[in-house]
Amino acid sequence: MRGVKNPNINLIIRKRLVILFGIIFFIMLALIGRLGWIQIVQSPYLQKLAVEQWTNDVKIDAKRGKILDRNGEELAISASCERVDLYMRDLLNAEKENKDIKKEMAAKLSAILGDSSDTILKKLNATLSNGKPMNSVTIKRRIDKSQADKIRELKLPGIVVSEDSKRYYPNGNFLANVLGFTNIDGAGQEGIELKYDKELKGTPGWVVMEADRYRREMPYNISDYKDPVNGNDIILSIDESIQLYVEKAVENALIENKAKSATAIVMDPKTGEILAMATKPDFDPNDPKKMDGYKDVQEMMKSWSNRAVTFTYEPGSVFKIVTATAALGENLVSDTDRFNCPGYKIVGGRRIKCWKTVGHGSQSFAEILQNSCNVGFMTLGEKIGKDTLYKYIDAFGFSKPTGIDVTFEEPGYKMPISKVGPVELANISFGQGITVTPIQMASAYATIANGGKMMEPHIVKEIQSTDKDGNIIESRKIQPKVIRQVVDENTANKLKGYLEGVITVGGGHQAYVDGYRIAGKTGTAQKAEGGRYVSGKYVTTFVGIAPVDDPQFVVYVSVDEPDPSKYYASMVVAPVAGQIFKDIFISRNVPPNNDTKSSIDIVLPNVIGMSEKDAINRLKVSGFSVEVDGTGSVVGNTNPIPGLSIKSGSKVILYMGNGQNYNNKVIVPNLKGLSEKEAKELLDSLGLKLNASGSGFIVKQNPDVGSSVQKGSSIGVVMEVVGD
Amino acid sequence: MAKKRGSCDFILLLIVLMLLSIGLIMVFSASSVSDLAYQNDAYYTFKRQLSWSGIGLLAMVFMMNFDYHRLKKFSKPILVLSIILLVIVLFMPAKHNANRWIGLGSTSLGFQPSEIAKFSVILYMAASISDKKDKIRSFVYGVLPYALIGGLIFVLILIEPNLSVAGTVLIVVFLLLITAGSKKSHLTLLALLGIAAAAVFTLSEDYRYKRLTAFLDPWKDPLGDGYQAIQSLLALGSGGLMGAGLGKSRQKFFYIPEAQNDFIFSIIGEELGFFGTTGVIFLFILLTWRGVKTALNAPDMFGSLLAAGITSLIAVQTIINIAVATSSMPVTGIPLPFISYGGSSLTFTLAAVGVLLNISRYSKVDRD
Repeated sequence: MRGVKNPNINLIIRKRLVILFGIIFFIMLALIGRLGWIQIVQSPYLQKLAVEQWTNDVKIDAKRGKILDRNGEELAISASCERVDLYMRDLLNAEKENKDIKKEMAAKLSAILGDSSDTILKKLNATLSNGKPMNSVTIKRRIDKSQADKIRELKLPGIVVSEDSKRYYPNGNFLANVLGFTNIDGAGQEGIELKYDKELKGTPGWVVMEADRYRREMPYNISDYKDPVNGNDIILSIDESIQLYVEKAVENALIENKAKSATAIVMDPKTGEILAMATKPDFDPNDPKKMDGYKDVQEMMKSWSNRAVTFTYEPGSVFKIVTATAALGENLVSDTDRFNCPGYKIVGGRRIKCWKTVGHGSQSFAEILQNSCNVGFMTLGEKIGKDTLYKYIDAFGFSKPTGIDVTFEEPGYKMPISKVGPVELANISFGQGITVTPIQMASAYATIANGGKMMEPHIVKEIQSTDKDGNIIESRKIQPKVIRQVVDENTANKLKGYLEGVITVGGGHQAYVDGYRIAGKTGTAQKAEGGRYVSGKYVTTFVGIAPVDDPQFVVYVSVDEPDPSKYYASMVVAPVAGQIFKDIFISRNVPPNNDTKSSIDIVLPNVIGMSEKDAINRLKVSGFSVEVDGTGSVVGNTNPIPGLSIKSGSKVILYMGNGQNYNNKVIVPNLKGLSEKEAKELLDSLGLKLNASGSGFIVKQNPDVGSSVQKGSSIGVVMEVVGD
Repeated sequence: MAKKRGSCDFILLLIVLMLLSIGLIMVFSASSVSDLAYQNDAYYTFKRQLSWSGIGLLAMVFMMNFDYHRLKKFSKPILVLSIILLVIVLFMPAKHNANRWIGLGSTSLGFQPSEIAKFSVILYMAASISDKKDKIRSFVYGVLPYALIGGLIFVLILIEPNLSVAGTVLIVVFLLLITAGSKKSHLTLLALLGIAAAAVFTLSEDYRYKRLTAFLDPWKDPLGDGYQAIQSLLALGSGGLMGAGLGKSRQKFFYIPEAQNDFIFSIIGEELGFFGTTGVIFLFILLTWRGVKTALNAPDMFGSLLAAGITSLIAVQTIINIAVATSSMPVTGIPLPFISYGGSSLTFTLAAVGVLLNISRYSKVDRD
């Protein structure tokens, strides 16, 4: 020891060395502690962050279910395609390595996608409103697989290619207003697509893939995967072939009547199933936002509306069945009752006109229906009273949605019963002062057709779940649902019988189809705008039931704002319904009823004076068989005599002669119920002339049916507008 | 004065070989992904590290058998040479905006004069102080010369620029002064001066302050100043207790750039977990202990100081590297001795360990 002042330096060094080691040891222990904090305590949190960084959650969209008709015809299908998105963070990272990467990427993507490189570059540079780069940008959607694969191969930073799907409606406008459409993300926006979106959309699956800093896949296994569950297929009660006829008929009605819109529904009254539902004008669900032919967006959007459930209007005379049901159901009317119509009725001090201002005279209950006499129904309404009438209005489900499974159904409107006075009651009795929707009107007739038992109208018949390969796993059938017995079966059948009379002898004659029993009613209603009835604006409606003895179809047709020069429902919509009935009978193989087949007798045309060849051709066209008797250049006479109504296919004997002494006698056929054009054609074929007065349909003829007249004679007819 | 030479400290040798092996494996694991992507050869870095390890081991074996006493007379020339090299390097073509490398023939091979400088300072100080003995207690003779030389080298390395290596040199100089027995008052004065200079330097530029404090909350700027710290933490944290398994790092997929270099400890943590990182630290603690033991048992002051200097240098670099990886201090580029990829650093470190082993052969007491 060298003393305190000069301590042994070696000792100091030894001491200091130990201290130094102690410090280093302590610091290293502290670092171990720090590592424990990071790797044990904070590990779960940091691991979560790290996994977020490493993984790409790629959503796999579920395939949207199909929409099919009742026979499995495809109405809406999803085609799979792909989409390209950009995750900006990864691109920005990559840009640090390569300043020109955006330009390079834009050029590469442009070559594959066909979009201009500038457009893509703009998307790669997309910023939020605050100037910061967006998190992600969609580069392009609905590209096909070959493009998608090419982009995948490029392995561009931030670019993610994933599945996308495209909704496709193979028949274009067909059933558009019922089907609706989807937005670009495949979510239902209208119609069945919206109403059944939950069923159709399925559950998306996902894949978690590990990606490196530049979003390129890491060589590790996919960490997690979940299969998407495909959406369910929706099978509609719609019959594609009937729908096709209905759409054609409605389209024609729209054009011929220069109308604002036209709507038709075909319903099965026993189940409430909708077999067809059409609205024109319509739209193409493949491109619902196309502006072609529309003034503005509002008008374009109106074309999406399914007017069968959204159109509310004052129905007019078709509503008279409610009054009639109430009267029959409450036993307030009998066949012996007479209703006198002077052309108006004074109600509550006001004179309310019948549509036929000259009056219908004295009529039975059946006749007020056939003639659609407003005075008759006002009288009935008075008898029934507002409470009872409202009871039936409610029973038929008016002013409430029918519950049909489509979107945006309107309830219609009836004024509160407390506000109903005698005038209002009179109006409602013949279908004014209350608004209804087409589907409500069709349901009401279906109720009568179904023996008074009201079924809930529905359009989806079955929902099927399918697996990945399209095999059906589960099928849920929608059961027909009874709403209520509105009126007893007898009453309903009685009313149905009266309604048949409307077709055979009343205003619905134009809906008549040879050989089939059809019941129905027409209605023409002036439209109210701003609380006033507007002249020249009408809604014409026809609702029919067939076949009467076993109703299978209810056909509703309405035309909104037909050309005011010819607006009566009997002329506007009854023929459309007739055409629809005829098409349905053919497509569904409904056999004609032989009891009513007499009416398919054909008037034998006049072939006297024609050459043998011409005469035979003419008769064969009408379906007769021909026997030639005698020789000669021209037909001198026929048996039976021209003008007689005989069964189609009957034998006609031609007596040939030299053209000097042939028969000039012709039998006058029945012209009643025909239009002027039809009567003229018929008389032409017999060599007779038409002398018409009035307008509408022929109600009187002179000479009468069966009279024998000289060829070339004039037949006088009186025409009248029949029914409303 | 020369004693009979014994055998070297085998434990120390074993620790070094273990660290070197761990380094080779981890360098391969960390570099293969980016090598495959950028060099088209997964073994690119590994092969180079293997060669440098070979060269380093040769250097180590040579120094192991080279009597360290003979180094004493080279201490001044080596110091002068390294100062000259540090000046020359400033005129060499820049790489990554820094003049740190002197090329040897091809540009891909080269060495950093700062690596030599670190050791030459230690050698010089050990030689010089051991000659001065008690004068170390005087400020003018014992402290000032070393502070000036340390300061000169610090400045030369700083302007390359390479703040982290320059700082390491200062720290080692300071630690050697402590070990050599400088007065506490002198050491305190130096420490205060250093801290004051650092504070002025840091606060003078806003970006420096930001960058230096980024480690306190790296999530403030996750894609900028905080990026490396965050990625390192994510690697360590996701490794957890057991690690993802050897070779299974995700962070090496470009999240941590050049993972084989300064952030290799993070990859060790990710692949081998807390057990792996703790194991590596224990090896360094053992190494430090054997180094300090060698210094304590060295036959003379020169041997003691030389061993202490070499041990301190290795320990300081280890601590800085791990502290950076654990976001315990600002991010700086100090390699993890024996483990990080890097030719000249590895070679000089192994050569220094060779010197350390040589000193251990002259131990005064029997090795345990």
